[in-house]
Amino acid sequence: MLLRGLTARENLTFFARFRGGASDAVAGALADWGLADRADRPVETLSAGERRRASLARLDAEAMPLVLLDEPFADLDEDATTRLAAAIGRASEDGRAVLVATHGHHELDGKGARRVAIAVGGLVTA
Amino acid sequence: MTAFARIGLVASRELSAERRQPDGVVAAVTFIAVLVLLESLVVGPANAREATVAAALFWIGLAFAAMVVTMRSFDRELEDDALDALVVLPGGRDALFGGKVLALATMLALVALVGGLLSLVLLDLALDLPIHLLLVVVVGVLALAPVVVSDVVLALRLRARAALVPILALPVLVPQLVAATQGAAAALTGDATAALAWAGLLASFAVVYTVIGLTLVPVAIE
Repeated sequence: MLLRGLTARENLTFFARFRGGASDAVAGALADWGLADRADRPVETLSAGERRRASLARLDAEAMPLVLLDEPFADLDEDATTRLAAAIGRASEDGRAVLVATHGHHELDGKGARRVAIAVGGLVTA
Repeated sequence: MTAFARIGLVASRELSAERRQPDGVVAAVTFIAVLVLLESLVVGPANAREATVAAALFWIGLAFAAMVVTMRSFDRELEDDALDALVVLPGGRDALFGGKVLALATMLALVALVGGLLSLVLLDLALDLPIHLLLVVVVGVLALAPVVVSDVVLALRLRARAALVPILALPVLVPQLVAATQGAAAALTGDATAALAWAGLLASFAVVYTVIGLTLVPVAIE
């Protein structure tokens, strides 16, 4: 989700400004995701995990009304998983719609998420 | 945010990325410089100084340079799904086309400046109407950019796009290359009326293909 050749800060600022919002939240979002000291490096010099965190920091940097996340917890370490669950909880509390497709069962416990289980193409529980 | 502001934002992002990783512009400048250097060797010094020959090779080189820069730009967008992140934004598709055209035109202007100066110096071309030549180059670049960007977008998901882009683009570009060549040759030889007439035709091409691109690309990139 990030354009190579730009830094993590430039990428997040671009998306925030494109939506017509202020870019003030970008620095805070990068710091919250542990990227304050790497924010001004081109994204292609970041590790795969850091690029993933920079992409997910968009959750906090932009006022997007609808968030669609497909397997967002895959390949994340424990710390990043906790951060992401907290960010999803904050987005939900802000009144934003968040739809998460995941194989995990417990990452969003306590975040007020409504759980829908799908198996073999059919609805199992709702 | 207005549509023009979004286009400016995408163009600015594009130029920033190209400034950090100038692969496309460096390849295009090298390509056009080698073409100019080879020109007098291949066609002979007398023929190379013919205004029409020099102008034709310059514009053919610039057309291929535009394809190189644009394909590199979209290759960068396809890495890490950066393109998808942009097109899902409200107004993202229109801004993508407008921003790419604006950024490409800016980069092509730089390539044209280098290629044009090399042609004038190395081929020792006489230049009777420099302002008219500048006008032809500016509108010629503006006429090239929307066609090349539209073409690259249409071939974006194809595996053989490096081969298909020139095949698809060149038939559409022929009238523009003829107009740009004749306009530049007229400016070199001091025919002001012809230079302005060809510049007007190129400006019409620029408007028509920008409108077609703005209509076609947002749907094609679905």
